[in-house]
Amino acid sequence: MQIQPSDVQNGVEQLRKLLEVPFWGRGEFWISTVIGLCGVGLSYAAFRQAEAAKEEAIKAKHAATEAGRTVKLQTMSIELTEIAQKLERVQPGIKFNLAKELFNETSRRLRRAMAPFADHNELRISIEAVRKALESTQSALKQVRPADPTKEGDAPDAVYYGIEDYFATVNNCVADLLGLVEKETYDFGDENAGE
Amino acid sequence: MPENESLALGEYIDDVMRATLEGKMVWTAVNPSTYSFISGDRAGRFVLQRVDRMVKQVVHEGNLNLSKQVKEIGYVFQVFNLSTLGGNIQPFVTIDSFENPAMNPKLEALMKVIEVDTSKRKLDFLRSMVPK
Repeated sequence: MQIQPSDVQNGVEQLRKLLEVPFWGRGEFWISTVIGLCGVGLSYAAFRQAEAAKEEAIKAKHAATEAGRTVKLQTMSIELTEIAQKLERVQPGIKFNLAKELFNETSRRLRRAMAPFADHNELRISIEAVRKALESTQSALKQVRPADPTKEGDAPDAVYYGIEDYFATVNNCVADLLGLVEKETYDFGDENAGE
Repeated sequence: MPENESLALGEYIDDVMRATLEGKMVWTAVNPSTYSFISGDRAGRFVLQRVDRMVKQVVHEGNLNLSKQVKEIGYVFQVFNLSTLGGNIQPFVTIDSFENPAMNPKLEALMKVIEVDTSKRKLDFLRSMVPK
């Protein structure tokens, strides 16, 4: 079968007519556009949900961290209260060995309890004051170390007079720190009450 | 403390200082800040201690008034009556210069005399050990 020139002309004419119709006038265009827009909408909704989930996760992490910090602060508060009570064992007639044991235990427990909060903005200055008071107390203890332990009884109140004021200073500094720790615990509860 | 009692105690400290200077009272170091002396008849024991205390002091820095802990030196002088002591370790007399600041210069002077005398005795002992 041979193709006639008129057939080619007719074919070109039909193609031209077909091309003259704008692409947005076709149903296929609108179907694909609607599908595309739905895809974009769904993607945006998924993005928003992911964002919200991320924010919730960050909040949950923050709350968990703060809760952990609060538990640690409460532990510190209990420890400080116990230490403050122990420091009241410094009484007239106290022997050097007992004073030294009391100091060692107090110093170790205080330093351990304070270490995690050494850089805490609100507690830093009070912690530094406690550390300085401990250093001064250690120096004061050296001044009452008996030359002959068997003759310690010759000056029965020497240890008491030598360290009493320093232990009182440590106790005062611990009380200041305890107050701040309790305030921090309260502030956390207040700030996070609505969350 | 009444003024009369304070004066009498001041004079008593002068007597103790004089006796120490004359070598009639030889004090023994109980610890680096405390000295004790037991009388010959063992009727009484004297104790003198240098005590450091932390005192709050307001310091002016520019326009600010800052409260700082400052070390202040004082003395505690105690006398124990050994003849009636028994198991009791309560002192018969206690002079605390933080409570009675007027006594501080006297006790400071006594401490110096005791320290000089003690170190002199130590040096004499060390010299006596060197063969001549």
